[in-house]
Amino acid sequence: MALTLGNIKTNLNGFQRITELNNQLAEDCEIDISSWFDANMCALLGAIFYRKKKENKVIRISDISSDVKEILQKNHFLSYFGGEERPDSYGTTIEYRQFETVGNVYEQFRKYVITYFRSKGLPKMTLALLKRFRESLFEIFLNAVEHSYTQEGIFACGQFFPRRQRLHFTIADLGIGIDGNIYRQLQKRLSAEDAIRWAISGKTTRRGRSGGLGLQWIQDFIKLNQGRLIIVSGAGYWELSKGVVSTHTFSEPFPGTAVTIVIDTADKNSYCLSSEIDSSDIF
Amino acid sequence: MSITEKINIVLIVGNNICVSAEDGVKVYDVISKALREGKNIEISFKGIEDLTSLFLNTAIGQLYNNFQEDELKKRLTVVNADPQDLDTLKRSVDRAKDYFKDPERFHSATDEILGDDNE
Repeated sequence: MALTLGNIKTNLNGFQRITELNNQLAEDCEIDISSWFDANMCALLGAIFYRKKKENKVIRISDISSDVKEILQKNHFLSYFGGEERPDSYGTTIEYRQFETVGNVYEQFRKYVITYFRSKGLPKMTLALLKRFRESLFEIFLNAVEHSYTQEGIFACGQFFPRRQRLHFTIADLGIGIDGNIYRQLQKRLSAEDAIRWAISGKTTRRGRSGGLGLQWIQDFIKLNQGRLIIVSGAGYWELSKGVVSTHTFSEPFPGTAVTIVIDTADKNSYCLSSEIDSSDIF
Repeated sequence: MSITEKINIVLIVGNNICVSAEDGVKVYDVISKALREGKNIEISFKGIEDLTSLFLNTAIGQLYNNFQEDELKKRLTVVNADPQDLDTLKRSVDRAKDYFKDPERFHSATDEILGDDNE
């Protein structure tokens, strides 16, 4: 079976196409990736390919444009599936990586974040922005590890777009989804779209421990930055873009959860989300 | 007069990236032990590079489950925190106070967004 991936950008259409692809990969196939492909979307594509390989499906890339091929070589995505690597002399790609959930997965991710977001190859950002960005990645990654109940790893990839001054990063898992987690922990059935809204509103499935703050905290950061936060979980799609929220339900679900942040790297905000805080008035 | 114990979060965690709940538990254990011994505690944020609500929820937020708010206000102080970290801490503490007053509110599916409870 031959499939054409089409344009994959970090937007509703791009995520929808990937959910459709997941459904179409029920049999062996050849994929044409000759159109535009935002490299951070490798996190979702890698997750789907990994699952299909486990199911003994044969997936071959039949055609790939030279631009896309170069990026997917630089970010090591193709090497995961038998292709070559290529050095990244401009430092705009951020390596595609599958983090195994056995062993100390947090330590693997910590090293990865330090490698890519401390100094080497980074777009210029204020220290305040870089700190908030890194902290957001840790929040998203550790939430994926805790809430997805996956044994199949966590998939991550980023990309810097220098002309637009945008940094994209996506973290995906093949777990039970936000709706699945709410049902497992709280025995409440919500649609995939409502489950995302539930999580984003500051609720938590952790009993006996305060929580639910992480996604609210990231939303506030993204609003200040005028960036974007996109959550895909099962058939649910939720996007915050320039302060405006939009939602959608896909006809085909993604087999897990993927959280994407897009930040404006030129932003100079101080990122103190509350007004001035007195250290003697914390407790 | 009570003794004041100075604790440094980075030294307890073992590095300056204070983001995981597991590392938060290490800090919680040190603070809660000192509180049970009747000490005041000065918590130093010196050297912290990254800090998350996940970490603070267990390191400090969890204290509101086991100690009275008045007691924590009287006996805990924070030093050497940069404004961004102070902001994250304040939000985590406010959330913990709200959570432990009425935990079910944070697990409920009954809210203005979702309408009726689906239970």
